[in-house]
Amino acid sequence: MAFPPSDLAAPVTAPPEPVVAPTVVKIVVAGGFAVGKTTFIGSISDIEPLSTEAAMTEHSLGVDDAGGVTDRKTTTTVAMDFGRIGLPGNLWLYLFGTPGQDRFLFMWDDLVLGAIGAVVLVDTDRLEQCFPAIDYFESRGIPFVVAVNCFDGVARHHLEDVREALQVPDHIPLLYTDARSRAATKHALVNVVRLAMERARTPEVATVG
Amino acid sequence: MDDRRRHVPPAPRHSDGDDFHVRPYALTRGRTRSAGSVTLPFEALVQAVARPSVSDTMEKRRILELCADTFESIAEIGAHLRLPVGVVRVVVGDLLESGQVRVHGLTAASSSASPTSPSISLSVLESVLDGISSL
Repeated sequence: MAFPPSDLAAPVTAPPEPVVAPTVVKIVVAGGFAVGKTTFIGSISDIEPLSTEAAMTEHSLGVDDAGGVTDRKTTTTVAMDFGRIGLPGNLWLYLFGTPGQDRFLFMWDDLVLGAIGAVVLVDTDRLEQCFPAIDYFESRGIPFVVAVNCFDGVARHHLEDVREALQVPDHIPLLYTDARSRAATKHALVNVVRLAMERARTPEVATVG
Repeated sequence: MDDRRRHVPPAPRHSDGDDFHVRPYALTRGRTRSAGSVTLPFEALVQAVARPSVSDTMEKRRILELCADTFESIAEIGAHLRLPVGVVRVVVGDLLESGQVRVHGLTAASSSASPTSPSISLSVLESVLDGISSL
């Protein structure tokens, strides 16, 4: 039911300016728990990464198995971290971090809907944590790159070794990144967009059932 | 499903004490969807086109105030007002139905029947690529 909004006495604010709404696009940042998704987002976001409760209910607020990395991250909620980058041409690029655990995969459909593509962050000490993300994007034909996060700024593994360990097919870009570095994050994002553009030119590739 | 875990209090992320504690479902009268048929994407931008009215619920007023002079995404509304995204979607959906807000950015994602083939045009992708490269 619509109520006329003009009944309030002495309005202090003018009606919203008729500015053109930005075009919104998004890239999803996935990967295992505590792999550096929020750092990655924060390295390039115009705004401090924000956190929002992504689930409707409280069912998932519980004690989590932190996978042996409790010193890196001690609390877990169904929070989803995200950032935003304003680009020329009235474009807003959102970066959404996936909730870091497999049991929140049900939420990813929402997140990836309409996304340009995804970055899967990999910690080579815990390779297996990125398998669900890789499987997810691959099975849905969503463009993604695998970015090996060098926590200490040093690449400890050859990319080809990582590719073999992850069994990532050759057509999926694999690159080094440093979640703290704006330049490295930029590089990863550029690769996602390039891949999406290739897919857009050859759309049949994207329809993997 | 996981009822034993339900009563573990959430860790306060930004402050403690002053958050109001109402079950999310109470704010939406038990609904997980708004009256409208669209599911609002997290990145959809909300713009208030009406001023908050005394007849609006607290959540509606807060959303209308937040989006009065700027575009705010569903996710940002959730973050700023500390409301779960699911609640924001329902309340914004109601505001959309009643014509109190405009929602931008729905075409790319929500209207498509196929979740994996959104039609982001090549020209938009090119602008994104140029934009990121120029950062």
